[in-house]
Amino acid sequence: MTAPAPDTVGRSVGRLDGGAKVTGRYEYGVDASRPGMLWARLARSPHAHARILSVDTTAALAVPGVRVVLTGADTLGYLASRYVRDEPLLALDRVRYPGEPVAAVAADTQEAAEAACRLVRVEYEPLPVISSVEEALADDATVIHPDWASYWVSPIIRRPGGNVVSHASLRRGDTAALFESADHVFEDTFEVPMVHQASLEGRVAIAEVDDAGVVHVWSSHQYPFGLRQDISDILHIPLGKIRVTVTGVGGGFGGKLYAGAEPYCIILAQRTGRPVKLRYTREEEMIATSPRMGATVRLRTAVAADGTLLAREGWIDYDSGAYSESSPGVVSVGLLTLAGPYRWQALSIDTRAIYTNKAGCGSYRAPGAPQAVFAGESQLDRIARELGIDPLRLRLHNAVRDGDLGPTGQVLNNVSLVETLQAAADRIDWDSAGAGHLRGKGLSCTWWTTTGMPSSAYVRMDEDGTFVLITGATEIGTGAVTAGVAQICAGELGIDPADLKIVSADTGTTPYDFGAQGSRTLVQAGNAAIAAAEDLKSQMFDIAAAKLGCQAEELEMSDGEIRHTNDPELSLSVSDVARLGGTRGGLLGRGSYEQPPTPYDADSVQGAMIGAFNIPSFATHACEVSVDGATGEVTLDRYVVAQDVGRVVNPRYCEGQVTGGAVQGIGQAMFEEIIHRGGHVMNPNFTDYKLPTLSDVPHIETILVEVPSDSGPYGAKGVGEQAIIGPPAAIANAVRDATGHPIQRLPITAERVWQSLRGPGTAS
Amino acid sequence: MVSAQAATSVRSFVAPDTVVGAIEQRHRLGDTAIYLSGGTDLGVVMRRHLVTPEHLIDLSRIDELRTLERVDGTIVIGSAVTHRTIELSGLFVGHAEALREACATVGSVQTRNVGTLGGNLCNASPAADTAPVLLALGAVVEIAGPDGRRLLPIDDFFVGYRRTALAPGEILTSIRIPVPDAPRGSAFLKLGRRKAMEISIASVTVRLDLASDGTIAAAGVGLGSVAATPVRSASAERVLTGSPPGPATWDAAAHAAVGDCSPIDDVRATQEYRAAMVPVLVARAAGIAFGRARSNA
Repeated sequence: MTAPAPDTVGRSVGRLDGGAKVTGRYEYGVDASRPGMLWARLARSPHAHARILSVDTTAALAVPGVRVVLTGADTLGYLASRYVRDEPLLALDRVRYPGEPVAAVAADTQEAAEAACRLVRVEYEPLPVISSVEEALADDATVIHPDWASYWVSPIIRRPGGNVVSHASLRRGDTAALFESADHVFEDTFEVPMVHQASLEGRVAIAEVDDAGVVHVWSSHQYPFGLRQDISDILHIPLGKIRVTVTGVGGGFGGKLYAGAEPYCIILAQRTGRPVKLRYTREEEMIATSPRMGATVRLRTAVAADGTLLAREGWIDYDSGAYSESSPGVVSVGLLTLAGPYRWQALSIDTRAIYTNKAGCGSYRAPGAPQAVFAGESQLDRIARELGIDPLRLRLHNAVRDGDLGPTGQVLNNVSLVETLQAAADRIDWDSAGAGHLRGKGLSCTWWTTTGMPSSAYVRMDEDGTFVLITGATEIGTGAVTAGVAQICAGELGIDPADLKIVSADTGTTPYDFGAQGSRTLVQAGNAAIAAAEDLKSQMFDIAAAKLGCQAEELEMSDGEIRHTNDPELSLSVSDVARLGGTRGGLLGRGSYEQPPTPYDADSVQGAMIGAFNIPSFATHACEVSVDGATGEVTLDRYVVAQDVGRVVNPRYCEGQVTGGAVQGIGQAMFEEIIHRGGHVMNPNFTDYKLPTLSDVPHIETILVEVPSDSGPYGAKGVGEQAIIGPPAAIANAVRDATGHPIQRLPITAERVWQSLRGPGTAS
Repeated sequence: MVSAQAATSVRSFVAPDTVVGAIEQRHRLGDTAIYLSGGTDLGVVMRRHLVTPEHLIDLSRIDELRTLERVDGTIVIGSAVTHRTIELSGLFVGHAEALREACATVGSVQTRNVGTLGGNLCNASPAADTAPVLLALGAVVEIAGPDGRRLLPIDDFFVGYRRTALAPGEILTSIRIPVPDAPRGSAFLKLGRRKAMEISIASVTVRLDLASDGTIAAAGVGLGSVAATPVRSASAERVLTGSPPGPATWDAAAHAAVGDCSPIDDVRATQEYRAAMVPVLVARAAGIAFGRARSNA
């Protein structure tokens, strides 16, 4: 779809929801309510791992205003998690992490629901707690899911048993021979903690059941069609009896892709006959919703004396927590990102997700990637340092280029890694003389996917000529729908984007879309919108051609007019066409887009739900730091991101996505970690879970590189996730450049840097 | 059976306009009543059900507690004066820069607009930003109770982890900072994981008063987040007092200060790191305080 772009593309058009957001009128999930609504709350386990001996709800039910209290016995067979159905809605016989729901209450007020939750009496018998991946893998480890064999499991998943959720592997080429003959072999281990999406708006939903038994859910969610399927799978309700309407979304970042609060609202609504709302507190978000998996990454790399990368062996053990959620998909991303965007002769990578007694982990912006890339890109700097090769030159020497094969054998096209490397290095003045004592620079390179899967759209022309885009895509704050897709659609219709109306993200009224995930919305929903606009235009041209006495192919549309290509006098206004077509009540264009899967060497991988990156894009991060030698404090002096977006549809929001991703990545690099003791989260609040403030982050210097894709709208590639991946390695490399000491564990706190300064290392 | 309102224990809220009126309300309502001065800490612990008062006595309408003035040789700060007011006041220049600095690092602007100096002290967190400053500045607090008013050196105010010398029903009414004739400089340094909205890993205040011969006539050193209470380092003060200013003195004082702290491990930092940072911060704060004292001469 690399047709000429309409003039709406490439401009910083304001988003259609911007006014309501800045004036406070925008309705988020937390704002929504229904007449007669009850409030839900979940009673949660205080234990990391325990057998449930008994549950007594008598006292909870006696609280005035309490309508119903449900327990595991009321929800038998309701199992969540999309790829391994291992997560009971309410714990029945055992709890597997602190914060696991054991009862659900609906009451007239939030206070009554909370009081009732504190009065649910559960008798527990503690079980041994698996608090780390290492403990989980011990030979005599307690098995967290003894009944695993009875679960429904997605057929692609492989695992040896025990506490392993899933195991993906990649084998290409003869790694053993290359390691045998290589001039150098480097081996390192890296540790990355769990981090949280920390959306300002947590999980929140309302459910209502009508007289026909149709369940209507309003939710702050990223993927309404996926949620509808989840609800159907978990609660055994036919898809056709579920409607999901997405409210305003106050942040998602991957944390709102799966069923969360919704099934509880539904079962409580079914029992009470009233609408039920459930809103998680910040503490609930931090202890019991799906963060990014922590990981231990070990990698060995064989390198020739001239710096040519030959082969890599890698092992990533991701900490999945007590439930699988999205970890089976994420482990396969680890295969692709641990290889990185480099030429290899052989690869042997194994990635696993492991059960522990912590909250089950899920998806977070570029799931699986920051952990792997922190390791791979940090080790590249060690290789460069020890071989006496400049880190920039080492990367340029090994960077993938057009026609190269990716790690699983996909053919890479429109590759832009070298362009981003050079742009970022130029901007940070890479070759300038050493920045000085305790100052340093660092680089990291990333590649990422533009997820495919179906998107559909309608474009409707109403009786007065107003255009309405009806899309299943979800606006989660990026501007991908309310700016990007709207700009594309308006451009195709020849109108000002501000004049386009949008209906989106409602399974009851909009056609299917695979959701706001995988950096896909602008590309896939954009292509669907183009197809729908073309379908509508062809219907309009047929009507106009009949009226004007010409061929439909001879017509074009812009500025509200349909004109003959060669004779502009021969024209009709859109509103005239609307009236002509008005006997049929307006017109409806339909469009769908589903990119064919990207081919790869399927024999090279096992257990991988994702085997290739679709429309891959590339980026380079470069930064400059200064280190306080006495305290270990790191100050980010400059931060540059050069990212290939294929084609810039909206410069302001592209830069916003890159900036936002980089800032979140900086948070993971320097500040954020969920601290566990015995499975318990020790910092379940924004006092001690440290998100960066504006004072901690420099201006992010963004460079938008445009190497067009073959199939995105006008060449666009995915934008949203990639920028979060690069910061940990770029900053670790800069700190190492400043101090001479490697950092192999995140976050890079002052204390860790101070520790490293006292340990072995080489002064720079 | 419990009340449906159990999630919020509070049954009444009163806002008297005099100190005497507040004390009377407290007497009338009994031990389930609690004074509220800002609420930026109290609100958090009430939400977590760690404190469950039935009655809140708000002190924010008492004019006396909101005054900020210099009376002869003393700066008098009403206990309900907000951090933001102190941060923006010119009253501390040349006398107590460290207090202005500490108040400017408390939470966010929103927190500082609501949180009060008295509230920060009565919450008695070992990490309270303002507490070590007032220790270093030799402040005196005024306390009002059913039996009248009393003055107490702030050294005697923090009696244990999150415990103060306030008797039941007493109100901290003002904080008094003596202003000497001699040139004085003070500095507050705070180490945290991030540069704003932060609870300190360690904080240090050094106050230096210069003698006419250029030596240090008197010194105060306060330490935060390195013991169960905010602490004063008498050892470092002894090293500084009477010594010639300069890096050797700062280092000696820094070394001495370590012995006066007893840090712990927590989610913010290890004991080892805290202990190592105290001398770094003491030496740096002393250097800054000295520079200020000289320019205040």
